[in-house]
Amino acid sequence: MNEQALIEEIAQLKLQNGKLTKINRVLMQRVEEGAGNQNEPYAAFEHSVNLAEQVKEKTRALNETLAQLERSNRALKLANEQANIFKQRFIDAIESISDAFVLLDSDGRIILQNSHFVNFWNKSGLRVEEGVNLNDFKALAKTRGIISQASPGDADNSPVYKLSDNRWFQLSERRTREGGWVMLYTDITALKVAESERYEKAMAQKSKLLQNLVDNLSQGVILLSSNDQVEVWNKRFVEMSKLSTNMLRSMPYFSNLQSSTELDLEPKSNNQDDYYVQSLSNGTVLEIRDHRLTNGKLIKTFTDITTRHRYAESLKKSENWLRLITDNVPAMIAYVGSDLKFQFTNQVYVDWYGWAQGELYGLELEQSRIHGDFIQLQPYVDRALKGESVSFEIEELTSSGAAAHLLKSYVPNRDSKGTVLGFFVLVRDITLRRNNALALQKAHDLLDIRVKERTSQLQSLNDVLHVEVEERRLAESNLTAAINEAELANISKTKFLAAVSHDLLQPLNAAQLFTSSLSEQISDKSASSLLGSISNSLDDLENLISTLVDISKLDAGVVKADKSFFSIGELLNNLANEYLQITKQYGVELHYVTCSAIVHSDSVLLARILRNFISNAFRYTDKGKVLLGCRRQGDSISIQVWDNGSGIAKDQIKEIFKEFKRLKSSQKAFSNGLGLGLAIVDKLSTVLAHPIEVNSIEGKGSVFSVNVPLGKIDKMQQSNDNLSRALANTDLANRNVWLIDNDASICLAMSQLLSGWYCHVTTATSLEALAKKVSIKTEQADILIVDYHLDDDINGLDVAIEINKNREIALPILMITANYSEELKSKAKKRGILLLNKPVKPMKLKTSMLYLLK
Amino acid sequence: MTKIKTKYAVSRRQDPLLASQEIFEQLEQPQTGFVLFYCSVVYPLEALASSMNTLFIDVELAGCTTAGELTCEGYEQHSIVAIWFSADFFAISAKLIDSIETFDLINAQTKINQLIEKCSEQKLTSIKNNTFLLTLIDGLSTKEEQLLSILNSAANGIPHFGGSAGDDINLANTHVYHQGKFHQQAAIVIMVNTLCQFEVFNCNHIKSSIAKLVVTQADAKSRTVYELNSEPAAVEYARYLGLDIDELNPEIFSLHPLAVKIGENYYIRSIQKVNKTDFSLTFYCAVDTGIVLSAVEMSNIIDSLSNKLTKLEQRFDKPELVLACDCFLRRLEIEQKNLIEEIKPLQMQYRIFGFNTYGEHINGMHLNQTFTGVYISGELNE
Repeated sequence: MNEQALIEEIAQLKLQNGKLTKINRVLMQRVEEGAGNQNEPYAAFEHSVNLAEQVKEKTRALNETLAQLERSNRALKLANEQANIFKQRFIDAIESISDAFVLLDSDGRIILQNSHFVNFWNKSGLRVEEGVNLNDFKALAKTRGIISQASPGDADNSPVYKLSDNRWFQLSERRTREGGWVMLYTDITALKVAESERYEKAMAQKSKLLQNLVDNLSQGVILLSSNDQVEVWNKRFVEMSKLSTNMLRSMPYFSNLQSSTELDLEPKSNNQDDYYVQSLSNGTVLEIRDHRLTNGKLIKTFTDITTRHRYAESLKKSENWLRLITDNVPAMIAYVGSDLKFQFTNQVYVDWYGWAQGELYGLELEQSRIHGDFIQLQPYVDRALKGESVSFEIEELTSSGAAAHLLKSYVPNRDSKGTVLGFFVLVRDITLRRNNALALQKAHDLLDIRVKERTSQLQSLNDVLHVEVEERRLAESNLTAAINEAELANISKTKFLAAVSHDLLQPLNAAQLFTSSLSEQISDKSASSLLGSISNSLDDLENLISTLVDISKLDAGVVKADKSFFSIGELLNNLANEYLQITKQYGVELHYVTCSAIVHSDSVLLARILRNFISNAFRYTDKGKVLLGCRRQGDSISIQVWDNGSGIAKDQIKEIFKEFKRLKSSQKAFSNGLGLGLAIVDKLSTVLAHPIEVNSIEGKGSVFSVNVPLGKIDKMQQSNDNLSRALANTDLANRNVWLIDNDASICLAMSQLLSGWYCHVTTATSLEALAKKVSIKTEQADILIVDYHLDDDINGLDVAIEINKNREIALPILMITANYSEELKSKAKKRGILLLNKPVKPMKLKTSMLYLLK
Repeated sequence: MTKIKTKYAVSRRQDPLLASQEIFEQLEQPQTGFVLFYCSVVYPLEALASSMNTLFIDVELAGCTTAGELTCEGYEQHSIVAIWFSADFFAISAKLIDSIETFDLINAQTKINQLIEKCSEQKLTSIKNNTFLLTLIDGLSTKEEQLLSILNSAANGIPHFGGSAGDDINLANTHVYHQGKFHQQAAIVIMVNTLCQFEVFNCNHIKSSIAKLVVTQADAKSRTVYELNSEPAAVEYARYLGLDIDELNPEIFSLHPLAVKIGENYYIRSIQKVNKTDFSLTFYCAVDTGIVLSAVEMSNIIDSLSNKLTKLEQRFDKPELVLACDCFLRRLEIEQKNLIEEIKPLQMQYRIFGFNTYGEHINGMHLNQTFTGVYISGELNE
């Protein structure tokens, strides 16, 4: 290294050193001064940076703290929220309960309350706020009168408060952990109200009952308070006082009421038993009583004693009357008790004995004797007291000392048990009568003598008359014998006819039944026609007997009209239809005019009359015309049958109504007429009380009419309904029929007939016979047909009753009889037995059976 | 329906009246709220001030001149950018500090109190935690550090950011606007009280120190460094870069920044110009004798910002917008490195509005070559 280089290097190093020295210097200066002068811009910057760093550092720490804080904040917030939720739930819960809720701290200050609690007080005008001491508050409520009643609770019962607005609250409380209280005020108003309502209702019921009781008293009642105000009254009082209830309700003072009513309302006395009577202007009489109660109240009762009063008045009046009468009766009247003391005497009695009126009362009978001697009377008095009515005559001296004859009667007075309470005394002065009687006796004695004389004269006259009477008596007995004979004859005729009808009808009936069943078996025409003739002959025979029976019945008076209301039109229709069938046979024309009138008659008997009229007209009209019609005649209707036949001579008109009388003019008539028709008509008209009229002109024709009273339509009976219904069912097949008839041939005939209708027939001649064939009690049967006349005086009715008595289900009974008596008819009817008269016709039998089976 | 919180407008018209009208129309003729605007110095400022003032009657206006404008559509130059804040979400008021020289703590306290009062009057939400400060300072005033330091003391922990007004690197007239007038040597303090979530942030892309340069002589007041390592500053800086002094220009400054290390962090001290007379260097921010300037290596400018914004988005959800104070030197770097198209997606995605500054402010610090701003979330505070 050369010097030059060294010099350069030294210069270089010097320069370098100078630079470094400077750098060193400024750096040291910088370090020493530092950021001392902040006003210097760079220092300010440096300061700012440092500050910023510090701030940054601080901020970081702060941020960490903040983050921590935030976390704890969040946790706190969460906890707070939770707490708030719980609080809200709690508030919701206490709000949701219907009771007023309040939570108190240990000093009794309100911590929490629900709106019910707030409202509860707000309604009362008090503001209750949190922090208020409840006890002070309650005290305030009490002094303000908001709590009107408080009943402190005990171990079993919670305290109960009543508020001035009539609400009731029950307090339930419980200590909290920190020594406060939880209180629940339950509004028990409804409960209380219900309770008190129940109580009041019961009370009202009671008072209503009481009021009813009071109202139903016949007395008027009013209760006054101790200061004379009206408190209670009843209806009767209102009626009596005529005061308005409204006025009474206002509880007026008694004195104010007095002017409005006639009743005397003034309290009169304090004595319980005192009463006074007031008569009102309307005649009512009242008994007024005051009852002072121990509490100073007064009950006044007003009893209507008008009747009693009137009764007393009338009693008094009648007593006066009685007194007046007895005093004026010309007899001495007295009443003596069983103690022999006078209880009553009339004026006459007193006068007679010279006592002053009333002096005798209570005086003993014995001591009353002034003039007479009691010993004389003693036995009579004893008898009267023993209950005997005694009358006796006795001589006594009048007060003036004159002898008088007295008739005394003692009549005992008994009570309901018969005990003698005393006796009535009736004394009549018979002195005068007795004198008269003596005079009369004398006159009588004189008269006796004169009568005896007269009697002996009359006796002789009488003897003459006796002879005469005896003669007359003889003549009379002769006459009586003749009458008896005639009556006997008549009776025997009737008896004969009755017997004939029964005895004849029996075999006839059998014959007809045989014929009927025979006709059902025979198919040969000639035999059948022959049988028809037999049947016709039997029918004619039956007709004849029937007619005879009818006559006999009419004569015997057994036929009675069974009148009812029915339409005559129906009857006329039937008759016309019946006879229109046979117009050809008679060669006549039948015209008829129907009529809707309702008549009152026996349709059967009336039809009989009309049949006679029509068949007579048919018989006596040769190729002519017959007219059937009606004519109204006031209250009745005249049913008329006109013909233009031969007519009847005037002198004959009465004859035709006689039995067996027949006009000879008609040959036809003879063929099957007996001449009994009009005789029957005449008798029937009598029975029915329907007058018969006949008008006839010989050669021109006749008119027969019967007069029937008109009836009312609503009385018409639809009696034929049952029959028509029965006919609807014509099935008798397989029916079990029991038949009892003492006549074996009838049994046979009926059996054949009924078998022909496919019935199962069991026949018997008596009950015993039937019992052998069937078990009467139990065996099934549909109908019992029984004859009335059985052997050994047994009748069908008794048998029928006997049979049904043993059966569980009674058999319908059809009884066949020739006995037409009304007595039997009614007996049968009473027992529901259908009666069928002999001769029995098959059709009739069938319909009757069907009717019964129905 | 979500209410509209903010609107923005851009006018590239050069006529101040037409540009104002366009801004007014784009903001839909607001009758309420607050409008912040940044304008290029190419506009005749007086005319612009009067036309803006005429149009926006009931709306308070504040703003400043720029060294370039920033919207969600990308970088702008020679334009006006305006942002309208709805009164429903923002209570904003502004105060002019017209004499920085005499600004002291009492003044600062008074201003802050007035701002708090005015914001509170709008009854939007509580001041605490819902408020940040925006400062706009004349970028050539050289008084930022003191002012911010005092203001920071008075702000009592209210988050703060801001920027120094520029003038397209003319270094001649930077202005702040308030109440119808542009001012020089002045500052505007804007207090923003909002319902929206937000965070004030700052981002740089320093990678590591390469060399140390000691300031051996400097004038703090004029921010001039005469010597570095006992050599004329420009000579030493050029020597370190291996360049001629004549080659030194803002582009070089932007690519090769110097920084001071305080504590663990580097803070860039941007060089404003070379003073040819004595080869001294004038800085945009405070320097002093005895400080050590580190030549630093820079990392990817876009990634660093993207990372920062991504983190913010994760915390605050989608942004309503990002108000940015973006150092003009960063823009120069991006332009030189042809990254304009690459950064555009970020600007769009995060709706970045703002201007290119001559210096950035955050929490009382005055910085250079940083991206400083506030991330305003679309989400509201609970």
